[in-house]
Amino acid sequence: MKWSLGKKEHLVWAAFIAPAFLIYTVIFLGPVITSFYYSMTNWNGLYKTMDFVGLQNFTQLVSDDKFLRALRNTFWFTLLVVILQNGLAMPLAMALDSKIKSKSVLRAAFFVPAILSPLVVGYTWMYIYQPDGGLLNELLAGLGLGSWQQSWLGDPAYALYGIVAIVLWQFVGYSMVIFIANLQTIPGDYYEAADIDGAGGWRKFLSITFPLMAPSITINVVLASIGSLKAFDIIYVTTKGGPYYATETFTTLLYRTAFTESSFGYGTAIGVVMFFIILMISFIQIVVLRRREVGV
Amino acid sequence: MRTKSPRYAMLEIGLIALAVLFMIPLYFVVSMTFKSPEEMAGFPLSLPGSLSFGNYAETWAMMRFPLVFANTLLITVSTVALLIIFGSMAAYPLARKSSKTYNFLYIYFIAGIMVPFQLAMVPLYRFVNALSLVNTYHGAILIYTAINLPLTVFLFTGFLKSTSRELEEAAWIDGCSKFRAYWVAVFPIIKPATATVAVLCSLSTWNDFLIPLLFLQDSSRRTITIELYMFVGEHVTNWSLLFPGMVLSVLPLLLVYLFLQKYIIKGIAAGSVKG
Repeated sequence: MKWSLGKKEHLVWAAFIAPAFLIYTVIFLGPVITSFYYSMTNWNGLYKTMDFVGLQNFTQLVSDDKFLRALRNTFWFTLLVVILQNGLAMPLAMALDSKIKSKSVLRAAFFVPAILSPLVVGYTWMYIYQPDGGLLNELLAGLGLGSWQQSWLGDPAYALYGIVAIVLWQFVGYSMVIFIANLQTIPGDYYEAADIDGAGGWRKFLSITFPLMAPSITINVVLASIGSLKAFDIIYVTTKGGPYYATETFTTLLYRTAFTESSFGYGTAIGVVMFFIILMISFIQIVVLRRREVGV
Repeated sequence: MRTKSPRYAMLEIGLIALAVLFMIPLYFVVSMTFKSPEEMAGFPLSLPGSLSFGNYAETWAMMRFPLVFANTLLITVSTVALLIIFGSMAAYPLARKSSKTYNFLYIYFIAGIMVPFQLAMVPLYRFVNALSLVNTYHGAILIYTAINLPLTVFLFTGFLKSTSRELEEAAWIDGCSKFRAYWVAVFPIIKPATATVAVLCSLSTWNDFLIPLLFLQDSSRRTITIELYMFVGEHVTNWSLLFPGMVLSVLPLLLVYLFLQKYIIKGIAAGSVKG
């Protein structure tokens, strides 16, 4: 009756897992594994013929400037998003977990962008960033800062930061919600005890809030990292990787190489490298951040 | 406590100001839908002269709103239903048993979270095409189910690990089959995780545009997002139709959010902090 290990028992559990296993394997992981094979061929994605080239695509990647630039852009983009998104969401969550009256309305307001499609968010910000008559430049002119006007997404020096700002606007509310849920699990007694000991606000944050926020920090950092490393829609909609490859990341390079330039084998190799990088980064983050959680 | 209230008032005013600033992009898009071409050329934050819904009526007809709305709803609801049924069932033994096989299966499922979808695209297209599932609802539903299963299994397994086994074991002793015991004694207690899965997967399915771009090219099968994307390609200079199109495409989700925001926000937090 209990959770024994009889043979029949295993069959029952196999039946529980089977539908999900089949759908996932046949539709998603099967094609992914097929792609791992293609990454070792010179297939162009269209013709029937292809040659097995072993690891040649991968050795070529190491000295490919386009790939190295995409690697740099992806890491820089991810680092900025992870740090800024969490750095902004944490104080916002603490402010909206306090005793202010309008907190539920404000929370709902900050979360709204997270439900919008990347397509709509991308179009909206393209009009905001427009060089002629765009909202941002008009506002700068109105504030007497006309000399600050830029072609925000059209200038290679600013385009990547322009997209970082869009992502922050869209997802800061999402991280905030997860932080708030964690804050609500911290017992109020801790703060009362600290008050009695005469601890100041900063001291209380460092000794109570920050350590006890470890679980949500783990989740938010891992989610933002995977999301940024895999980011595609928002970049594809706004800049398609341009101008002059300034916003080219793994996914846009993969897409362009595999589908537009018909080097499917080579493009797929980029995807395989990307998968292993994401795997490694998430693994390291989970190990390091979880250790912090246990230590508390 | 009283001495603190002026500080809270200051904080509150600051936060309200920040929220207003935060909402400017949305105000901008909505205000543009009511503006005449001359007004559009003026200052972007100016109020529209009048509230005429003419642009909306025209856009509604041009983007065939009822059709694309029904397509998106059908695909999203079916996907989420499949994910909740099959995802939670698969997570159940993965959460309860700890032998090597089950641990391996768990990792097998959640590895998908780290795979960029683009990696599956070409083999998947050839496969789906060979089965004549391109431009079909069930083809799209199966694809969305497959790519959302890793996160679903992760969330359900995480939540199930924190639940007690007493109810289901009592049901077994009463003679329930494993299957029946699951639906009667386990499924009802994992509601918070179900809510999280429903919210996250509805959002990602409803808002997606890469999959319909590839797999739902037939104009009678388009979803809201892809219709808007095609629409921009065809009428890129006609702003008076683009802005209402953007608003119409997000309106269904915004309305749902307006009524269910408490549950949506709670749903995301519940699954995330436990998972």
